[in-house]
Amino acid sequence: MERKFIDGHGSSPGFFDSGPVRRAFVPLPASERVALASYDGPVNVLEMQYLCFPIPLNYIWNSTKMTGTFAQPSARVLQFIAERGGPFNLTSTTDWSKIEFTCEPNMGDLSVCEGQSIGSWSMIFGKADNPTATTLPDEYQGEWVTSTFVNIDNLYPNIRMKYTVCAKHVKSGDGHARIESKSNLTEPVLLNGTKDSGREAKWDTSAIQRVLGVQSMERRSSQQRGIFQLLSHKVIEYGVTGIYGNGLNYVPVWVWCIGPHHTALSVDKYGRSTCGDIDKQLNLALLDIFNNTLIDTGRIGLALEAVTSILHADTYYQNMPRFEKVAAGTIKDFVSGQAPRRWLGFGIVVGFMILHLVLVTSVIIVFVRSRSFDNIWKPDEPMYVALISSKAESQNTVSYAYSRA
Amino acid sequence: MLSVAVFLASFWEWGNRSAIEDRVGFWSMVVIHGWGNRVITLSTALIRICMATQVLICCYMVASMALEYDQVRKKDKDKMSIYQRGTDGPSSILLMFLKARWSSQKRNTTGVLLLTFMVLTGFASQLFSTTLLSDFASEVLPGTLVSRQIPYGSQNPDEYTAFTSKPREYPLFAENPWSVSS
Repeated sequence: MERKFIDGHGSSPGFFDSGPVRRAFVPLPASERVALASYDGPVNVLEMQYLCFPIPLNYIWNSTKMTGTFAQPSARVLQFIAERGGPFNLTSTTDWSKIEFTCEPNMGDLSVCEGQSIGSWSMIFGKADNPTATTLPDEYQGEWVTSTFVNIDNLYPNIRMKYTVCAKHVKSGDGHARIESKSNLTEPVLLNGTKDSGREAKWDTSAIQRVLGVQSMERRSSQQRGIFQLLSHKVIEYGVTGIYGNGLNYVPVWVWCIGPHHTALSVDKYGRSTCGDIDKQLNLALLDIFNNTLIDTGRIGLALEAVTSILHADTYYQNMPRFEKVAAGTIKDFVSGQAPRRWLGFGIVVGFMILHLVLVTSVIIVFVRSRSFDNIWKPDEPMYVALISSKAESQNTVSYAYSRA
Repeated sequence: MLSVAVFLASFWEWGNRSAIEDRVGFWSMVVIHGWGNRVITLSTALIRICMATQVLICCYMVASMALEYDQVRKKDKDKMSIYQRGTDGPSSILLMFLKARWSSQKRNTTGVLLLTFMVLTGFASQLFSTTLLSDFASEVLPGTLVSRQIPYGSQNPDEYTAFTSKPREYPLFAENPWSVSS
């Protein structure tokens, strides 16, 4: 299980594979989730993988609407797909001309196109650095290619845009899992205010990105990310999450608002989205998570993965009051208690105990060596008599008086 | 007394382990149930009883030796004779030693020092419980395993509208580890 990226540049296409990610959500409220030490019971598992690469397009771009199909990729892309395309049902014999798309690119800085027509694909268009330099050849950078697009409507000029396509494997279902944590966790929150003054984002999403593992490309353990470790899991019943509204039996439905309408979600700095003919304001928190992830990692696949996770989780927990299926589970919570965490006080006490033992031992040794020790074995003879016999010459008048008496 | 010290040392050793997975067993149960303070109270009570008994016996010995080596004033010797079989602690004998030292120029430095330290340790033993508890801090530990029925799925899920609204929460999840390669 790994994330893999190959940076292509110039005339060579690059790739990005987000790697298979399995995330198990426990059907417990937040107050119980954060206290979990271990859990063995029913969960909802979200499986995700994004495979992003450039691919030629056969398209017709009329005014703002682009329709078309994918075209045969280069040999390098085909080799990449052959190596990693298993979960996406992609092979060397895939008929690319049957993968159709409808999109409205160039609506903002970045346009994410998804829909039933391209099923398990995402198309992402972005502005090129030099959109009017339309005579330049295709240029590759990572999983992106910058190409010149011809608009058949005379009112709209040809334009250079960068784009990539991502094959996505997104499934979810109810199952069973064992999870654990080495310490009690806290759930991330959105912080108001940008973490970087150069950005236009309203929210500091770094805490959420850290938990999602999309803050940077560094390798981080579950503990470093502040999430549970998935020890084992088994999905018993898959839903069709992400396939736009097909009924699910046991998991909640969540729908990308752009999905059923075959139109683009414009992810620009103003947060404008378009769903069919209805303009909606994309939630800015979600937009910032998307944008910040893309800026931090440079990987559109990870930005999509982050948004998918949040939308899925939000839907799942939104529906939690409606859960009626029940399964047995075992839970071990973290509990707080008082325990010794340093040695100072214990050391002081032991020090005094040792001092005490030294004193007692000293007294015993001195006593054993004294004549008083001999006298204690004479119980019928008062001690003071023994004292008189030994101290008569010392003129101890009191003892002497006793002896006389 | 040594047994109690070893018993407490095992508690401290357990409490100062860094890895939370090592912090299980008997002491874990003690802490989870909030019995830590009671353990300290009872242990220090045992230590104090042992110390007091030993000090008392030592006082008898010191009283005997004080008479033998003539280390108290003449007028205190009758009281000291009684102290050989019954005393109210090292402080009384120390007082007599000090009086003898100041008024009768008795050379009883060793006895004074011994008794002073006995009084000191006796006083300190009253603070053992407080001193030990000063090492305590709030700790989060895995509790006991509980089994229960957990609702997990719905036949009639609600419509989803969160794309245009702020997510209510960013829930934690469990994930397989992954790696990065290039």
